[in-house]
Amino acid sequence: MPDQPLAETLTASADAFVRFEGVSVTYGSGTAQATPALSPTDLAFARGDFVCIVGPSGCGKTTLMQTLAGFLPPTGGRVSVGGVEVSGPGPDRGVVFQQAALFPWKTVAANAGFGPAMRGLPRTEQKERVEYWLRSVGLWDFRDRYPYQLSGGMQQRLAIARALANEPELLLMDEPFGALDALTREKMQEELHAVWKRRGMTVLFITHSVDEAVYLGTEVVVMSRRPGRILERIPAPFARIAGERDIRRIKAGADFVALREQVLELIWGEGG
Amino acid sequence: MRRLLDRRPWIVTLLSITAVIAAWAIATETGAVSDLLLPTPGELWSGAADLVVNGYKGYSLGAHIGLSLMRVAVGFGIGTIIGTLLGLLMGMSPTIDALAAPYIEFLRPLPQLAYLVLLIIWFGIGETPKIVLLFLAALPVSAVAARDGVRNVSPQRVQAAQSLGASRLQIFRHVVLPSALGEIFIGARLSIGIVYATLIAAEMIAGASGIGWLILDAGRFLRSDYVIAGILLIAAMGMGLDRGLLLAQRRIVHWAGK
Ligand SMILES: Nc1ncnc2c1ncn2[C@@H]1O[C@H](COP(=O)(O)OP(=O)(O)OP(=O)(O)O)[C@@H](O)[C@H]1O
Ligand SMILES: [Mg+2]
Repeated sequence: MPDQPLAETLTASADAFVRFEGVSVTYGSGTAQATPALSPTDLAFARGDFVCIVGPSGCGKTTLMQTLAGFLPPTGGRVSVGGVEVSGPGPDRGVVFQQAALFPWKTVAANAGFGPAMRGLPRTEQKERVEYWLRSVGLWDFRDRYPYQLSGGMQQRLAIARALANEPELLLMDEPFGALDALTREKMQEELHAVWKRRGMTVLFITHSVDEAVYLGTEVVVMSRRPGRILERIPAPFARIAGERDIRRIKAGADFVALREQVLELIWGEGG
Repeated sequence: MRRLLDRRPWIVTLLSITAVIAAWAIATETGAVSDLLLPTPGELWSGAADLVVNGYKGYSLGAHIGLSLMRVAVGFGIGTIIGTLLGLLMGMSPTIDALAAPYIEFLRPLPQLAYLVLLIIWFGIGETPKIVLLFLAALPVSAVAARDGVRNVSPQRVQAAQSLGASRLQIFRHVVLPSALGEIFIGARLSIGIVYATLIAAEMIAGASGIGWLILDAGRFLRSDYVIAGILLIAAMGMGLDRGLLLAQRRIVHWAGK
């Protein structure tokens, strides 16, 4: 559309897949202990984006995600996905919690296949998806075990496989690698990045690690202290580097370090 | 020696039992304790053998055991099943909880003997009042256990199931019920203990059968050998029931505590 200004085209709603409009949350509103957790927030991003949210502890990151997941109705404003207002949880939005929240009474395979089974997909497709995703996260050999027979890192991988086996358009992850050691964490970052590239889903990813956010995200959103608002949105180029990526080379590169320091400085400015 | 005992605690158990039996034998065989109060091991043995061979007052020992177990099984079985179903509903629906809670809370701390008389007035002296008594003993404990089990379900697991596309009924079947199972079993073991303790009271209601009645009746005739044999038997049956439930619990709720 040549006669339309460029700025308008970019903010047109057709471009935004997820949209927060003036979303605010106050816990226990109307009571003496009313806690404002999230200031009115506007945020929109496109299909296929990998949006990383960083910010001080208790600033409202989980709260923001919960309004999108449909677990928590916002006190004010609205959240929409693909133009449809969010009114509750649904299988179009997969969630990976900080604690794996697996079903300990089901085998690894039954956990991974929970979504497809509940939604009544054909048996053969259920089986294919379970095998595909368990192989992707390296748990196929453990398919007949129970979650309590897995290590913490394996449980977290299973939680990710469980969310992905449902093939949601949108994946919400709340500090999914927070409990992992540095090596496992970087391996998981690689695996997640590969899956995202292959399937092109949209990801909202909360993390305390600026390093992780800058490496994985197409965009890093920095939030202020509670009640949180968006301080700055910083585009990051590393997620879309084509071809073979070398995680160590990228993270040691001058442009990576510069961007990481820029984000860290913003957070330091918030006191933590 | 110390390491050996740490690794084989059953040796200590065996020693402890042997010591008690030895003390018992010495106390009774020397006449320090009258055998009217406490039979010698030999007398107990022949009394028990007599019960096994000749039965007691018209019923074989097996029939006494069978009748007691039948009463426990029916009272406990129906009480636990209905109590658990009620508790699950109470946990799911605040309305049903508000409806049923006052009766459950009233019944739970009430000593069973308090309403035993009423049951006799209502149901006479046959099997019915006995089984109703045991049923009422089992019901409130299992209802409260199931309700608490439902309430303690991890909200995050429910949210996980919701965002994987599970319906309300599927969430109940695949998330709420299995996560309440541990507490349901704990409730069942508590309730079988209470039912079992109530058994003696139930068999006090006129009649002439059951292991509990056997103990009471033998006591009236100062047959301490029969009484003690009956006590040992009822204890062994109780341990068996509890072990059976524990085994079932470990197999079914295998993930608990891990
Ligand atoms: N259920 C709740 N009831 C009352 N207040 C809450 C509740 N959940 C969170 N809060 C408050 O809201 C604020 C934001 O919480 P939230 O969990 O969103 O923070 P967060 O950014 O995810 O923190 P962290 O990085 O530590 O996980 C916190 O200060 C907290 O005190
Ligand atoms: Mg959080």
